[in-house]
Amino acid sequence: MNSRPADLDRALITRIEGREADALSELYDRHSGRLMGLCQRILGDTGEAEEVLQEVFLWVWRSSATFDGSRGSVLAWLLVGTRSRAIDRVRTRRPAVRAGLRSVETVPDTPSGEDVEADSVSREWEGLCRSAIAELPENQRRALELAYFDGLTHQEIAERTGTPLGTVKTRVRLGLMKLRDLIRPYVQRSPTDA
Amino acid sequence: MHSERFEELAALQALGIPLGADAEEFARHLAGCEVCEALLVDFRVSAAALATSAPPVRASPAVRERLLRSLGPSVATPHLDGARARFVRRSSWAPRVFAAAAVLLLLVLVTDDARIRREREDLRSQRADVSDRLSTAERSLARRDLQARVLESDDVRMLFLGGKDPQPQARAKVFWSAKARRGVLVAANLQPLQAGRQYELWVFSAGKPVPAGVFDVDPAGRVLVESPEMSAVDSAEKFAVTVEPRGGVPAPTGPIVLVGS
Repeated sequence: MNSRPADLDRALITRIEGREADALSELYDRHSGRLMGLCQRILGDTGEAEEVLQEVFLWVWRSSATFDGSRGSVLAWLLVGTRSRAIDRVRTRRPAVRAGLRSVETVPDTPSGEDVEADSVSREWEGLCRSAIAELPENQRRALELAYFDGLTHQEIAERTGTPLGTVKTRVRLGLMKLRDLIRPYVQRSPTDA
Repeated sequence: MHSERFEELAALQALGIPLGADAEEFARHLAGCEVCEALLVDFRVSAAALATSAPPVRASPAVRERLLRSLGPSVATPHLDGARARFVRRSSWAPRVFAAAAVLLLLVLVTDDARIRREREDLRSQRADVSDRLSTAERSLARRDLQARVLESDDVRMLFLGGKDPQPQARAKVFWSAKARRGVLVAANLQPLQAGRQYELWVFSAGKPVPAGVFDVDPAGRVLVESPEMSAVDSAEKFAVTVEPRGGVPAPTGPIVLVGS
């Protein structure tokens, strides 16, 4: 297959709109690993993560027509849909059940040989993003992780970390700005894949 | 005016954190601030990058099986190879087995006690409830998605609408996407109207006004409203807002309070 990954994904979405179950199956095989990783990271529970993963692909089956290629890649669309569903679940839990934050270093690595996403463009993008995240100052990275993976507001992050509210706001803003500056060169090369 | 506070709100929005009471103010600011608009796009890419710090994990094969079983009707793939096609043909006895199983299941259900029937009714009720809530959530999501699509569309253009007598102080902007054939009106300083009256937005195409929806304003005279899809509008030449009977009229009859082209 010579098609670019983004083109292949968009072709699959078109086939899914045509009610081809095989296309959904192929999309699942291409991206379920990454989406499951995101669910697992947010929810900290394999059973719930798998339920959300299934919900996401059922949503893709029902709502593929709402995908707008001008606003980004299929993968970005899937990540947004997955994260919002997982965060909604976290928010409906009672506080005692909420999963605690796990930083990047404590999350178990991918099982060896997992070919959950094998294309080199995605690997290059992921490698660049991980390097960029690793370059963030620890306090900025932690604030961003609490917001993105735990869905916490500024106020909640301040309470969780015992940090003044104004400092939290600054850390989140500066963290995203630094991340933007670090990944911008790649985004400018291939904006549709980012 | 652009400020660090709006940058902080852009960061929150990109991270998908609800803005609460600041949401409306930020939406209005975003509509007129190119810096924040570009920043929000950049922040969204940065937020997506955060997802890569969660390593991929393989889900149980049962998830894939459940998913594919639950899809309902789908078209047959045109890419079946010979071996697979033969397998499908050999599986033609399967419906008979399922039919026999269904008969057995029916017998069991018929002879079962009332408890099972009550449980089935409960489940139906719960399913209907969940289905209703899902529909509501999907409608809400679709509406927000459309609104965002207009504001972030690459062909969106902004027009200023000025106030006319009897409301010369009224101000508004219209963000119009020709591709989506939709617009978003953000207005301020409009007077709240008497019961029985509503503002109506008009889009002029080929010199004729096309109704684009009715709306009320908040006590401060502000509103953010999205038009429906205007399939009859080939080219939006001018926008206007008039005061009309509640529910709207097919052609303008009341005074024009905002106009711009």
